[in-house]
Amino acid sequence: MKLNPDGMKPIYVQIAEWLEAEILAGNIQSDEKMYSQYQLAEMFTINPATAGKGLNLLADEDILYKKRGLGMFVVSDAKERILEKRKSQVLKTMVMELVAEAERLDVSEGELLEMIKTIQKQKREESQ
Amino acid sequence: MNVIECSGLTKVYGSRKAVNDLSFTIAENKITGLIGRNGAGKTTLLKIIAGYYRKSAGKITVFSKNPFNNIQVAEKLIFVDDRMSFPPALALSEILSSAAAFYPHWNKRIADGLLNYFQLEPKEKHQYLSKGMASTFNMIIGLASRCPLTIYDEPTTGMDAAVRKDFYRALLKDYIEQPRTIILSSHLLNEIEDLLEDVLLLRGGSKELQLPIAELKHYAVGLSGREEAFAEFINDVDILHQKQMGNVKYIVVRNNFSESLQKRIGMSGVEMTPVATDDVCVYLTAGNKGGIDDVFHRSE
Amino acid sequence: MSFIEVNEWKAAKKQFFYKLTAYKGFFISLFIAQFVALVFSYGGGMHTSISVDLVSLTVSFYSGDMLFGFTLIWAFIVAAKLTSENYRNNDFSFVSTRISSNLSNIALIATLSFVGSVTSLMAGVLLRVIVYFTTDIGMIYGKNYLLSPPELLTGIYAAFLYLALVCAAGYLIGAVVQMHKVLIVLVPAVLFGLVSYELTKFGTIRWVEYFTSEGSLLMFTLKVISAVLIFFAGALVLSNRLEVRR
Repeated sequence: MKLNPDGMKPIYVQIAEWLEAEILAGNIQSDEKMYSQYQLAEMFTINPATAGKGLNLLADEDILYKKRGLGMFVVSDAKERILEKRKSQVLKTMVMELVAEAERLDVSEGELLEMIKTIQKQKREESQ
Repeated sequence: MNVIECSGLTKVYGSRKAVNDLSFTIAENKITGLIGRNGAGKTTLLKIIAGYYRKSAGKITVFSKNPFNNIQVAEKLIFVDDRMSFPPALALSEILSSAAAFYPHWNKRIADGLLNYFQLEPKEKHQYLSKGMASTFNMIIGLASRCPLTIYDEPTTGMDAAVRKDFYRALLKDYIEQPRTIILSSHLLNEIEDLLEDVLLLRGGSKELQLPIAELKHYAVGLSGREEAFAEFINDVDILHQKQMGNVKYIVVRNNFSESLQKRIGMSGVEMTPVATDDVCVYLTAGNKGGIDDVFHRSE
Repeated sequence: MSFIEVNEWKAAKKQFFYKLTAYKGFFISLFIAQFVALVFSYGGGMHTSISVDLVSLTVSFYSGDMLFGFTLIWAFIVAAKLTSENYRNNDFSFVSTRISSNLSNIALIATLSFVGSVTSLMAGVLLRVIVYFTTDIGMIYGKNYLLSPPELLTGIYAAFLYLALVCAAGYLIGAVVQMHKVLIVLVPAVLFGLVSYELTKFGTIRWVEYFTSEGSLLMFTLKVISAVLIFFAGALVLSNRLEVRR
């Protein structure tokens, strides 16, 4: 992954999101040791304090836990927690944006729902 | 522990205040970015910290001492810029071995390794190096000296993009190996942003703001919409920048909005967008709110 | 000297060794100056010939004065040069204070003066040897043509003191000139004026004679050392508040 310094998200948030992606992809398993802030700093050429902030963000959301003197570890139900969070947060904001854009374009509620259904149907057919 | 503390620091040249009533502290083992336009007082401030210039008024301590002409401060810091000068008779390798004598933590492995990596000829003379090569060499001295306080004043002058990238990475790797207090000055935040923990922004010799880099992303917010639409929201906020684009006005303001207010703004059809940190710096250090456009407005 | 910190002496010592290698060019310029002086002294010897019938007599004067004169000029220039901005900035690329920078310069000047005094005396001996082997000599008449070791050592000692004195003067003048651009013109003008005033009024320069006319080696030593100390102290005080690396 490449960080996007021009992006609107702070670097530490981008780090947290990358770590979540690593957990979701199974690159770091439950109860496995997470990268240290120095490893992350080195990997992304960022300040260790910034990397630490990214890790703490996940610790605050109970996706990582601290073992004294050993560093951060992935909680056993980390995947579920991340998925749950993304559903409630990411999807929600995306839907909000979708609805706002639909309003601007004068797309009615029925039309919008129809579009979603069509795309879901297309996806299903593709995967078959 | 604070490595640098200053309060009311002022440096006067004739009638011009190069540094004006500056108060800030820099904590130990942090990488701080000193950002400001040309003439904002960056170099003057750094040279006062390094003990080269005398302050005109106020107070400054570096490692708890007045830095001017103080050997105990001089021993603990190195000042790297593109005007570092060396005796013309010495070859690069000789300059490095001389530097080793002055700095107890000198890292020969890194000095030699970097000299080789950047394809600097050890027998070359410093004054025959190109601007970028000289900057690269000076940077090697800054890294290898491993001083508790390392000051880089516009260190990448003349370096090409690849070398700049390598330099930042070398700086960071070495910092992780051996944490120390580092100040990096630049007129652009963009390239060094990821390396920094704190930002100190200067404008006209005064402190515009100092805060952790992560907070700079939230510092300002952009609003765009019809002017009458957001008039009610911007009564008591600082406008940092404004631009008219047809009927739509884009303004950048300090982000002091409560969450409920943010929702209301969203509902009213005004679009809220984050502002890139680099732009925040440009707006904060600009002479006026309209930027270059103002000049042309007036002349119309 | 209590206002100089221990660490300052340490830094000055490092700077001194740094300067010995970095400024080896000074030694080379010394040898060149002395070689040129040697050529001039030999080629520029005064010859007077008288021929009476079958007897022809040639009297040649050779003097080593030019050798030492060149060395003195070299010393003055080198000392003044050390106070210039470039040299000072070189110091401040690494660990330095104004005091440590001055101390290491003084140590370097002392070393240069010592080397200059030894080599100029040795070059004087060389001149005698060359004259001995290259001229058809009937008789050598000269004061001090043959130097005994004590004479040679005294010569080196006196030469060292003269060189140190000239260096200290050059160093002080250099430091004064560094204070303001106007002084680059003003100081030499004032010095020149003083010299010509002394010469026209008294036929000699009294403050030079103060040293040269001293007969006692001990008194001479004391006079030179006190003057050198005053000059260096003056240079130190002047440069101690100077801003560097502008």
